[in-house]
Amino acid sequence: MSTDTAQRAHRRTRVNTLLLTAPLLAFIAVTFVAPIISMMTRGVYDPTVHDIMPETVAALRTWDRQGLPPEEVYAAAARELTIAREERTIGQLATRLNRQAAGLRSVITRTGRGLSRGADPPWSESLPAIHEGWAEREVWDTLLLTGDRLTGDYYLNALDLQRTVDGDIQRQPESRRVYVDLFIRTIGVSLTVTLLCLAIGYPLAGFIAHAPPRRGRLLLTLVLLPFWTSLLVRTTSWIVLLQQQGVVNDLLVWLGLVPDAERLTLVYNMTGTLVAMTHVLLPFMVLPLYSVMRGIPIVQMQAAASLGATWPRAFARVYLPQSMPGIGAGCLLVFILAIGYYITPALVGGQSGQLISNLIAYHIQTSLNWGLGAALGTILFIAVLLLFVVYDRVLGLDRMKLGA
Amino acid sequence: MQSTADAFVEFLNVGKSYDGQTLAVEDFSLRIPQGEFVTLLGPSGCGKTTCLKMLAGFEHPTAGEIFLKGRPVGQIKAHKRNIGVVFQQYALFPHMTVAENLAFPLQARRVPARQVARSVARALDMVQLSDFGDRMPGQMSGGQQQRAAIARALVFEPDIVLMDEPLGALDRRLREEMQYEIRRLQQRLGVTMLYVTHDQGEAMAMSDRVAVMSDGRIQQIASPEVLYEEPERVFVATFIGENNLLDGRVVEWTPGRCKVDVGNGSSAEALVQAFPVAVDGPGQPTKLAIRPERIELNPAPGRYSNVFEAKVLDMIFMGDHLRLHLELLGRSPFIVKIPNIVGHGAVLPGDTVKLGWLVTDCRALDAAGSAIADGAILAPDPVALANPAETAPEHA
Repeated sequence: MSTDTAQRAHRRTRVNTLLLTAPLLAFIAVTFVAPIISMMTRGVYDPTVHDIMPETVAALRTWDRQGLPPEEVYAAAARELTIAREERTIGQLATRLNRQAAGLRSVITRTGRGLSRGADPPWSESLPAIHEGWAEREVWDTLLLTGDRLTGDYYLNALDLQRTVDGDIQRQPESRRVYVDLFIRTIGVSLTVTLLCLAIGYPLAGFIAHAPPRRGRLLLTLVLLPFWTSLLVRTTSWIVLLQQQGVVNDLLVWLGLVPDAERLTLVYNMTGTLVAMTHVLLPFMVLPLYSVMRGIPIVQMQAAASLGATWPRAFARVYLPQSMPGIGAGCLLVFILAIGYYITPALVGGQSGQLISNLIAYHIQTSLNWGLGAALGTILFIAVLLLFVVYDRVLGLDRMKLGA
Repeated sequence: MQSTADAFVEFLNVGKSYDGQTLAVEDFSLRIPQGEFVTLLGPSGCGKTTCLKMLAGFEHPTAGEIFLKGRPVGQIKAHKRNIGVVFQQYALFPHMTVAENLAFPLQARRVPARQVARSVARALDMVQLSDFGDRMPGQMSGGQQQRAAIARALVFEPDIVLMDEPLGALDRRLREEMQYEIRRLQQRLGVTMLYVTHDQGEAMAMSDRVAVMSDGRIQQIASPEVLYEEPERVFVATFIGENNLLDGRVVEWTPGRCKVDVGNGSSAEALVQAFPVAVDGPGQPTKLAIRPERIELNPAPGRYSNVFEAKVLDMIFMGDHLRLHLELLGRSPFIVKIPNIVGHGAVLPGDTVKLGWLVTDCRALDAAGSAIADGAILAPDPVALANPAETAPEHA
C-alpha cells in the first residue's frame, strides 16, 4: 500500500519537474537544436540537381559511360533545362554544378538562353551548337556525380578533397586547397592563444588568489572589467594601439628601438589576431584558475619548505598538481572559445590572421554555399567534441572547476 | 652577537613588526636546551605564532637574532633549517597519500628509495597509522590527519619540532589523548620541541617549561608548577588558573614580608600581610593575588596572620568542590573554593564567615593590571570560547 503511494508521489514529482523545465526545453529545441540539425543536414543533403533534372540523371545512370551519352539523355536534358528556365530554378542548378566543376555556370545559363530562342532535335547536335561544353565529358560526369540527394562532396571539399566520376577520392588541385591549411592554422592559433593565456593568467590568478581579501577583490574586478565592455570596443581599441601610427609603434620609435621608417606591422595580420584574442580570452583562463587556487592554502607551501623542499620543488610537487583542475578547465575553455573565434580575427586579422570560422561566415553570408559552411562547421564541432572526450579520458570532466 | 653554548635554540632580543610601527614581538629572548619541551602560551595576537614562524623561516625578525645550534639562522632559507613544523590545519598535501606525504621530506633530501620506504613505515608505526599509508588525507578523521602530520614532521629526524596549536581543531577528548601521545613521543625520541597554544591546560600538561606571552613579550617563563605557585605578574596570575585580586598600597616593607592596605581608609582590618614579589618599598601601589583554594574557611584562631570577615553572597556546587562568592572588605566577588569532603561545614548565603590565608599564599604583584584589564583577551579564540573553563577567570 504505502510503497504504491510513495511511487505515485514520486511519479508526480517527476511530472512536475518535467512540466517546469518544459518551456526551457522547448526553447532550446526550437532555437538551438533544430537550427543546428537543419544546418548540419545541409552538409550532406543537396537535392538541387536531382530535383531539377530527374529524368536526365535517371537516363545518365543507364549510360555505359563510353564516349558521349546517347540522344535520349540529350533530349531529357534539353527538356528539363527549358522547364528550369521557365521556373527560374536554372540559376540554382548552375551554381550547384559550378561549385563542383568551375566553368559549368556559363554552360548551363547560355544553354538555357539558347533553348529559349528555339532549337530542334537531334539534341545531341543542337546542344553542343549552343555551347561546346555539351560535347565534352565533364558536364555529363558532373551531372552524374551531383545527381544524388545525399552527397559527401561538401565534406570532401571541406577537407580539400574531391570525388572523380569513377568514385575515386583525390586531393583538390593545389590552387583550390584552402581548408586543411586553415584548420591547421586555426588549431595552431588556438593552441598559441591558450598557452599565452596560461602563461599570463597562471601567475596573475595565483597572485589574486593569495592576495589579502580586499586587494584580491579589487584585482578580480579589474580582470572582470573587460567583460562589461563591448567585444567590439575591446577589439577596435587594439587597432588604435597596434596600428602603424598607433600607440605601441609611437612608443617604440620614441624609445629609439624601431626606426621611424620601419614601423612594425602589428595589426591586420597574425600578430594582431594573437594579441587581441589573448586579451579577450584571458578572463576565461584566470577565473577557473583563481577558483581552484583559492582552495590551496598557502600554508602548504610553508609546510613543503619546512620539509626541505626548495621553492621550485614545492611548486612542482605541491602547488602545481593541486592547481591542475584549474589549468585543465581554463585551457579547455580558452581553446574551445578560440577555435570558433570569429569577430576578433575578422577585425584585426587582415588576410593572414583569418581563421576557419571567418571562412564559415563567408560561405554562410556571402558565397551562400551553405552546404560547405555546414560541413566546415560540423567538422569544427566534431573536433571540439573529440577534445572533450580526450579531456575526460585524461583529466576527467568531473574534476573540472569553472568560475568563482 | 654570540649564542650561549648550551642553548640548542636561542632567541636573542628578537623583535618583529609587520607594518613598521606596531611590534608583534618585542625584545623576545628565549633559550631552549636540547631535548626540552617549551610551550609559548598566550591569548591570540600575543605574538607566539610569529615567534614560531620566525624560527621556521616563514617570517624574518626585524630586530635581534635567532640561533640554531649556535649558528645564526638569518641567512638560512626555510628549506635548509631542518625544522619539523606541525600546523594547526595539518597542511597535509591532499593530492598525495599519507605515505607519499611522509616520503616528501625524505625525497627532498634525496634519501634512497628503499630507505625512504623503511623510514616511512617506521614513522607510521610510531603514530599507529601503519594501515593508513595508502589513504588520502581527506579519507581520515581529524585525529588521524593530525597524527600523520606529526609523523611527517618527525620522519626526517629534524633538529627541533615546532607545533602551532596542533590540537586546536580536535574535540576535547581527542585533544587530551593527543596531548599525552605527543608528550610521550617527544620524550621517547628526545627531540627538542617548541609548542604554541592558547590553552593553559594543554601547556601545563605537556611542557617542561612554559613561556607566558602577552603583547609580544614574555611575561614569565618557568615550569608549570612555578608558574602556578609563584606568578610574578598579575597577567600570569590571572591567565594561569584563577586568582583573587585585591588593589592596595604598601605601608610597610621588609624583604619577604610586607603590609598592604587594601581598605578605602586606613582601618586596621584592611591591612593584609603579603609576600612582596613586585614591590620593594612602602608607598607603592600593588595588586594582591590569592588563590581561591588556598583560603581556609573559619580557621582555628591564631593559625593565620591574615584573618578577615566576609559575607557569603552565593554558593555554587561544582561536584568535587564548592565555590563560594563572598564580599570581603566591601569588594565582591571574592572567590573561595572548598573541597567537597566530609565535614566541610554547611554555609548559607547571607552568613558571615572568617577567612584565613598564609602570607606566602598572598603575593604582592605589580599594579599594572590583569589579563582582562590589559585587553589581551578581548578577542578570545573561538575554541577557548567554546570551553569557558579554559579562559582566564572573568572576575579578576
